[in-house]
Parts: sequence; structure tokens; C-alpha cells
Amino acid sequence: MQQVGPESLLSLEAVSIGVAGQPGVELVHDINFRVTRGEAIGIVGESGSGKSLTALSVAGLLPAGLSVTSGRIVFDDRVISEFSERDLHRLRGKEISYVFQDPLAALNPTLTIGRQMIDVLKRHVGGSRETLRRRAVDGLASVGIQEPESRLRSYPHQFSGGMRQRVLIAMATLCSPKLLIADEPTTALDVTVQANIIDLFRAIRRTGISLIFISHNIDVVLEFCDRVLVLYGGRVMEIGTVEEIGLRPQHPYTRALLECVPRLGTQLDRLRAIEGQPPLPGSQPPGCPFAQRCPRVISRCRNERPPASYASETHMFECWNPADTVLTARAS
Amino acid sequence: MRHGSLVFDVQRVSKTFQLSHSIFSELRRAPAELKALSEVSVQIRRGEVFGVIGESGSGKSTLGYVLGGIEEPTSGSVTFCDTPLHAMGRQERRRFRQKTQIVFQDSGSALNPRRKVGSTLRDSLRLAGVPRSERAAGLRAILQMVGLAVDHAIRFPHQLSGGQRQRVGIARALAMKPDVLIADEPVSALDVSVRAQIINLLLDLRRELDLTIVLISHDIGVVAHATDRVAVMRGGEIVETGATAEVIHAPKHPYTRALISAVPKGLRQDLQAT
Repeated sequence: MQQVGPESLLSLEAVSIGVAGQPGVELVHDINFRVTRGEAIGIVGESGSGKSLTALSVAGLLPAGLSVTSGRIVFDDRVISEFSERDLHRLRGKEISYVFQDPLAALNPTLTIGRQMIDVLKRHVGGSRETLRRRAVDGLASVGIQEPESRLRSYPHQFSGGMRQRVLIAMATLCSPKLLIADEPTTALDVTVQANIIDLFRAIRRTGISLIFISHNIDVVLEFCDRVLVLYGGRVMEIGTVEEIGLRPQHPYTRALLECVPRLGTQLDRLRAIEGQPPLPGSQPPGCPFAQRCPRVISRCRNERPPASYASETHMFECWNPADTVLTARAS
Repeated sequence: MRHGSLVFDVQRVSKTFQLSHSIFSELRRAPAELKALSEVSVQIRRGEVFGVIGESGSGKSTLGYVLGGIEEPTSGSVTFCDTPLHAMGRQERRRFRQKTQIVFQDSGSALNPRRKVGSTLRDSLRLAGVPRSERAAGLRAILQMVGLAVDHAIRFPHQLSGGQRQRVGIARALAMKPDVLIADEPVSALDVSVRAQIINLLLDLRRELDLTIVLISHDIGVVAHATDRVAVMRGGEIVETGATAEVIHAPKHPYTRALISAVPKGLRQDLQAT
């Protein structure tokens, strides 16, 4: 298990997430990772791999019926997995913020953006109405929204998809949180808008906020994160720095994820797919969850869970038959 | 029809939508119409995969709907295999509708949630004129073609994964024995890993069934790999068109260049190098 260093902001220690009242049904199994101060970590994997549940557990926002069944979550030297709902309420929005994939669902359609931003500030910061309003204006300006004064009076539907995501990011960073969690924030957006939002996250990183960025597109994460966590079937397959994951992936699943993003400039007859379906959440094969779809599967993979192996101090993977890939870096 | 002959000849097609009119829109001086397509000309040849890329609001779906006969152009002409759409009689129009099938982005909402997959597909076979006695065999054949098992037929759409639902959407189109498939963002709701499966399926079907495919997508990576020729759309106009490899490697229009440079590139040069 990783030791919590002095600079650690968040650590998940052997965290499992399961269905309350149904022992043995686990959707996320034995997750270990930590985020240091100022670090950006990307979580990648397919639908159902447990990436959103892992992130939601950090914010104490697991859907009803699900809970952290074992392990603990430590944030800023506090064991937040044991926090009461009241304590979590104080933490969320102030120290840990969340940006969701669908900004329209995350905003109240009947209230102006300004009202919703000021509500957040009122709860966590306080101050005169004018101070809060100024801060909301600054918040909108900081995410690149033109004429922030007048846009405060706009309703969510009056913004485009990309602008709404900016508003949500402005709200999430209003109280200068220590940790920002973004769950697929660019998936619904056009590529050019996605590029702008990624630039915005780069700028946020420079303010020292730690970031957990979730995506099913590994190339997006490689753009601006420090480290990458690869999840599959609710388990960690591989974790390493961006260079280790992007250029020297050990786990066949990581390699498959890299390959199935179509590359511009290579002409193939067929795109590389990962054939088959991801396992159903909650199914717990005795071996590696990827064994069914893995091109490098050996008999051991189906019966025994692979132990953690290390390619370097920062590069961990769980695989019986690693690919030991070395990829050529592109000229930038 | 000869290989390489024109399936669609689109000449200076414009499409304007009238926006809802109310006293409020007057007061806000909101525009009364929306020009979704303006003077678009494009030729699509038999047997090719023709890509249309562009962002939200570029008019790419409207172009697909005009080709599929769902939307009537406001001006200009669309010719399908030598017959202009506007000159088609009832019978010809029916045949055109059968030969040109659309695969929608969200097959979850395009399929009837109350009906089992098999029932939906049998209906399409009936509409395609397959006699009752042959429908069971026809159903098995199209399920196999799209990579689904026979027992998927007794499931409801919500019991399938996104990728499987999209396979059903393709199966329904194939049941009509089309010459042309218009796929409107067929993979954008799917995981990256499943996207490749669906695109590969479309390419296999094109070879096996001699289909012409119009692939509409905002995913440049997918379009770059899967298409022979491509049109780049912006604001209802085609800003650049040509062989896909040329457009991707040597884009001429600044907008095409901007689109390409916005795609996240990862770190590696090319996986095939290893």
C-alpha cells in the first residue's frame, strides 16, 4: 500500500464500494491511489469501469444504496470516508468541487447564473451582497466569459454547451477548492470547444488546485494530466505517469485503450476495437476482469488475481502477462 | 447501377427553417428563420464512404436529412440515381425511401422501448416486402450480419448495451435492403472502444452488401479512418471537400486546419511503429 507522504492531499486506501446490505456485491474493488497537492490525475476506462463511482465516493456523493464498504479515504489529513453528511456538506463546494458531464442537469433552470453562484458563495464564504456579486463576476471572467456583469443575469438555457460548462467550472472554482473533480467534462462537446475547455483546466492547474479528471478518451487525459489511473471492471489495471501510460503501457487493456482512439495521419483498413463487452458492474471474476477480452490472456489470468507489479517506482500494473510496450513519442 | 456512378447529385441546395413566431421573439428581435444549409453542392458515388464533418450547428445533420428525403430543400435540387427527388411519383418516392436508410445517433430513443428487438426488425422486414414465411430466416440473417446473437431478438432495447442498440439500429436499416446508409453520428454516444467496433461493422457491411455510406460525424478521427471522401461543413456551407487523405494531411481551409489541430493527439507517434 502507498504511504501517505507529507505532500499528499487525497489518498484512497484499499477502497471498495458496494451495495449496502448485500455483502459481497462490490462495484469498485480495492482501489489505492493518492493525489498530491497541485497534481492532476486522470482516470480512464470504459463505461461501467467504476471511474465515476470512485470519484463520487471522494465527494461523498455515492448514489443511494451504495457506500464505501471497506478501506478509507483521507483528504487533507482527515478521514472523510467516516464524515457525517453534515461535515461532507461543509467540505463540498468549498474544499472539494465537482464538475459534471451534463452542465444543463447540474444547473437550476429557473434561477439566473448569478443567483446560483452567489448562493454557493453565501454558504461557504459569506460577506456583503456586493462583495459576493463582485466575486461571481470575477469567477465568470476567469473562465473566459465575455461581459460577465450582464451574463450574471442570464439563465442556463441562454448559454451554449461549451459556455455552460465554463459556468459550471467557474462555480466549482469560486471558493478556491483544494481538489476539483471533473467527470467527463468535455465528452458532450465539439472538438474545438473541448480544446478550449482543456486550456481552461490547464490554467486552473496553474493556480495550484489538484485535479481528478475522468474521461473515456485516454488521449484527452494525456494532454494535460501528470498521472493516469486505468480502471476496468472496478479495479485498478495500471497507474503511472503520463509518459509511462502513454508510451510504455504494461497492461494489455491500457494498450487497447490507446489503440482504439483513431489516429489522424494513419490509414488503416479497420479501426482497432476492443472486441466484446466490459463485464457487468458487480460481477467479480476470480482472476483478471479483462481476461475475457484480452489478446494476451493465459490460463492463470482467469483464475488468479494478478498481484501488483512495478515497472518503476511510480508505475504499477496488475497483469500476469504484461505487454512491455515501448511506443515512439511523436514529434511535437 | 455501375460502381462509381452518381448515387446523389446535390446541386446548390439551401434549407431554411422558419422559427416559431411569437410576440416575444418579435420583441427580442429574434431572427425569424434559420439558414441550415446554403447553396450546398455535393456528389456521392456508388460504393464510397462519404464523410461529413463539422461541429454542432454546421448543418451536417440537415444535409443528411435532405439526402434521406426527411427534409425538403428550400431551393436547389437533389438527384438520386438520375431521378430528381422532386420529380418522383409516389411509387418512385417509396422505393427511394426504402433504398436510402438512416441510422440515428441515439438508437435508444429511435427504437420503440415497448417492443422487443425481434418484433421491431420483423416489422421492417414486412415493410421491405419479405413474405411472412421468410421473415424468421430473414431476422436470423440480419442479426448475424450485425454481430448480434439470435436471443437478442427477445430482449427489449433497454436490456442492451449502447453498442448493441446501435447494432439493432443498423439491423433495422439493413432489413429494408438499402443501397445507401446515412449514418448520423452513429458512434458519438458510445465508448471509444465500442466506436471502433461499430465503424468496422459499417465498413464490413459496405463490402459485403455493396453499400454506399454517408457518415456524418463530428469525430474527425473516425471520419479520417473510415471514409474515402469528405466534406467539411461550417455554418451551413461546405468549406472544403476532397479525398479524405488529402483533406486530413493537407487541409486547405483554415477551419479544417483548426478542427484537425483541436484533436487531442496523445503522446505516441503511431502505434504501428512498434
